[in-house]
Amino acid sequence: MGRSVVQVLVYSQSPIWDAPWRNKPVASSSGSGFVIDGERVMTNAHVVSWAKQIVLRRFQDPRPWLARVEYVSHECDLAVLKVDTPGFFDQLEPLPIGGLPKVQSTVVTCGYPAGGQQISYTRGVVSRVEMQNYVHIGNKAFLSVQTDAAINPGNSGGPVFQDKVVVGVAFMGTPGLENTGFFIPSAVINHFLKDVSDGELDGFPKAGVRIVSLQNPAYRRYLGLSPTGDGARIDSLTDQTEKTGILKKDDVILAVGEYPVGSDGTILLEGNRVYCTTAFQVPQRGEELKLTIWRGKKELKVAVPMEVFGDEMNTGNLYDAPPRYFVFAGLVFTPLTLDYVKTFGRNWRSVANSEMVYELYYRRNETPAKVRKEPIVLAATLAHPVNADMRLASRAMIDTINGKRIESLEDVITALGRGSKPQHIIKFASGTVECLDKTQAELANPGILETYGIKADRRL
Amino acid sequence: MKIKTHFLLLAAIFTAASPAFCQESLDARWQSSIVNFDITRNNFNFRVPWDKRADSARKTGAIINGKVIVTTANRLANHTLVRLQKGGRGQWYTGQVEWVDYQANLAVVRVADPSFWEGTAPVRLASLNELKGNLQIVRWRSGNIEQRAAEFSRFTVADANFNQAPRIEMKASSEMEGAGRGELLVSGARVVGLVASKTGSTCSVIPSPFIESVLKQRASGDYKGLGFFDFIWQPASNPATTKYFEFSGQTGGVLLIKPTTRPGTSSPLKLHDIILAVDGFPIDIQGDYLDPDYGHVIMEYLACRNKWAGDTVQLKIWRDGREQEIDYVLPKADFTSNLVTDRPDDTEPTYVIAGGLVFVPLSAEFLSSWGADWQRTAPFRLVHYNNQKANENQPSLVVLSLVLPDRYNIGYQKRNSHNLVIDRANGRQISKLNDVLEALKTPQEGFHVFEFKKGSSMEKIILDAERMPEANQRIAKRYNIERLQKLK
Repeated sequence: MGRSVVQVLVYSQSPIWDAPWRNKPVASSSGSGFVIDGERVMTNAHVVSWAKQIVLRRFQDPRPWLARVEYVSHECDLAVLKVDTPGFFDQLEPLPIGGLPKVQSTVVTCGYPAGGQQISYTRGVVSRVEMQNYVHIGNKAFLSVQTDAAINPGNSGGPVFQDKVVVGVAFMGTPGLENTGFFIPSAVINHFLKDVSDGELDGFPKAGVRIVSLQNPAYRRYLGLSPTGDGARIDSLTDQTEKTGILKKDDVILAVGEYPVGSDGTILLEGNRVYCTTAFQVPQRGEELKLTIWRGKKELKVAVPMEVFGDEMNTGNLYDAPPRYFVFAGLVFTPLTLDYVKTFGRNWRSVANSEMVYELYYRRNETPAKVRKEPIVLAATLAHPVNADMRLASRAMIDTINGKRIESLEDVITALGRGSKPQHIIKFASGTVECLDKTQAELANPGILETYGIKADRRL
Repeated sequence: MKIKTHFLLLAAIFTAASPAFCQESLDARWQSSIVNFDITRNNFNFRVPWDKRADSARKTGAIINGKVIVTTANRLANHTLVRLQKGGRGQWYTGQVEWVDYQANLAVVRVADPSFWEGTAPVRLASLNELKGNLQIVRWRSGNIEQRAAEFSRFTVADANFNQAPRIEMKASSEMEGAGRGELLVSGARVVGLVASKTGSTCSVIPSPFIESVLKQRASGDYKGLGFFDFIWQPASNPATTKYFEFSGQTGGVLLIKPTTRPGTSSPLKLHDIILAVDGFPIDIQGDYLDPDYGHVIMEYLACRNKWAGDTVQLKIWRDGREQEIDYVLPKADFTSNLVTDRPDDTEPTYVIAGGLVFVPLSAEFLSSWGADWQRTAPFRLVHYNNQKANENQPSLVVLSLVLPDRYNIGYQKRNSHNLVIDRANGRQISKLNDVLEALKTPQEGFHVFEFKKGSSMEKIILDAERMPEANQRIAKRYNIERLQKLK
């Protein structure tokens, strides 16, 4: 089995989010991977994020093998690599992917931890199976398996075996907790592989509902249910889901597919009680999710078309796509993203003004009618006489430019091309306004780009 | 008393000529005028609003003319007993807080027992031209006068914690440990001010001229409290911005970006007016003006420079391409009608407990219960309401702050049911605790239906109406709560 486990050596370079035309220094790191069907190597997305070069090393083989990312899903932290040089897969058997291991059963992790050159095996038991926030993306939870087998840096992307089949991909630990490692179970791996089997990554669809427990006897009676029965309640819906009209507030989900839903919102998955959204993550995009619901004191069967929504992308960590920006007269405009606000430091939540935090995390749920497609911030101002009198020069969210409400980076460019006055007026979300002399701004623009080494004034 | 005063004056004159005499004369000068405070108070926890916890605090005050003691208002809120000690040791006397103004951060305390006043002498407050030289901070410590040198830094205008009520402050640096509790900042024989707080080595001092003007106004019976500028401005330092608004006057002034901060109030000011002068003082592009007493300070101080709530200041503004003069009536620094209410201190927390659901007003005190760093540590969504305007239908907000676990409210006891702002109860819009009580009178077909703001981590809670009284009794007993509601 170990022969099909490879070391993944990566040189990567990630962008500087508040100077988006620049990159950080090249960094080197290593992880693990394993051969799967179709002459491919599976690893973690976080192992190959922002990769400039990926080199694979086979078991006991000194030769470097260049690889490339074929598919990567940052939300479930998985990637598939291809090796174009013939011979890499010679004598390497693809590893079969099995099912969900039982709690307390023994598993073996395999990989190249701590950058070591030799393969390492560690044994442990399955501690529990539950939904976990996947830290690579930061804003999504999927099924994961906890084990006490050592999972250290460098193990990432390596297989976790049970009875000679892969039951997971090692991917994260928990700082401060001893003997606690996590691996991605086969249900998530298989979803990803099926997703990309048509040549395109769609991602995990979602139903757009928030499900809460339904354990208060009064609420159950209010809905016409027995005080101690099963079923969890839809407490709220996203704007898009509400518009479809298929699901409604106060619908009680009695079953997802074949899985009955308990009053605490869990299902019984192969002996483990896990949150019911696990079952929501089974269909592929465009497929239907069969639900048994309770509405109007009647049991109904509904089929919910599962869609992938990209609207929460900016609240999670972004990878591989360099940030969009537009620089004009030294003013650096870029979308409001988690990666951008993280440039304020570890305590970014207390540093960022509250308009930004609200727009990023709360606006969509509270006042969806006022959501901007792509909120834009003035990330920085590159000092020049044309902009030197601006008091508010960075870390501010844009409301309007020349009277146009800014919904995207393209709006910034359009807005700066209009206005009848000799000045551009920028209104920030805080109410502050700043102006720029139009003629001087146009004249200064090329020189500013030159001075600050910006090859292109925009990346759209 | 007169003889004593003359002696003190002589001592003051002598001090300047003889540094060796300084320590002894300073001690003698202040020991009859500085008093210790021992305050017992209710230190409420607005997140457990029925719980009263007694607390005590020590501070310093100064005897002034009229047999009264002046001190800062800090630590006097919700006091139940105020005891005073003269001479730094010996007997304690009971005092009565005669007057307190938390915006001005000043209080006046009387002692009824005549024996307290024996051997005491009032301090003399420094005038404007005596504020900066040879500063010392003095207080009682272990029965002796403690004095530490202080160095003048600057005058500044301070805001209250939650609102814009301005007052002048002197910044001075000193190494006196634990200062900031009403110690006297003195220069020679005069009191320059009271130390209101200390951060690091920087003391914030309420200057004596400000203290004197407030006390004088109060003595006249015409004290209406501090006023403030109820508008928000930005510096007009960007020439392109002033050109955009077609300002062609002399450089200076600030650009108005919010004519009023209080909903439902009208203002003579309009968005993007440029304020050029206040009461004849030209405002510079930073928003400062040259005060004849305090130097360059921010224009907010002009709302309380010999002015009080209800007084009129004259603004010179730029509007519609020309200069105009308008009168601006200073509103009282009263923020009880803010969306996040900022009530006067000395009020006990209010609450309603219904079926274990604890409802409290969303108030400055409630948010402050997360500590001095509440803006970072309190739930973001609640903090953000402090930046939002009230609307007519919901001028204030009520929070479900926590749920006291009981079999009646099972299913709502996790953290996602805490700190939620309620929108409606039994179909009724909720702005105040009274609304909750009224709503509870009209259950919906046997159920109480609580709906929370859209986007809350739990948007709806339903309870059995018939069983609520029984649950209330059980919860009150189990959690040892004397009263399940307190509205005033």
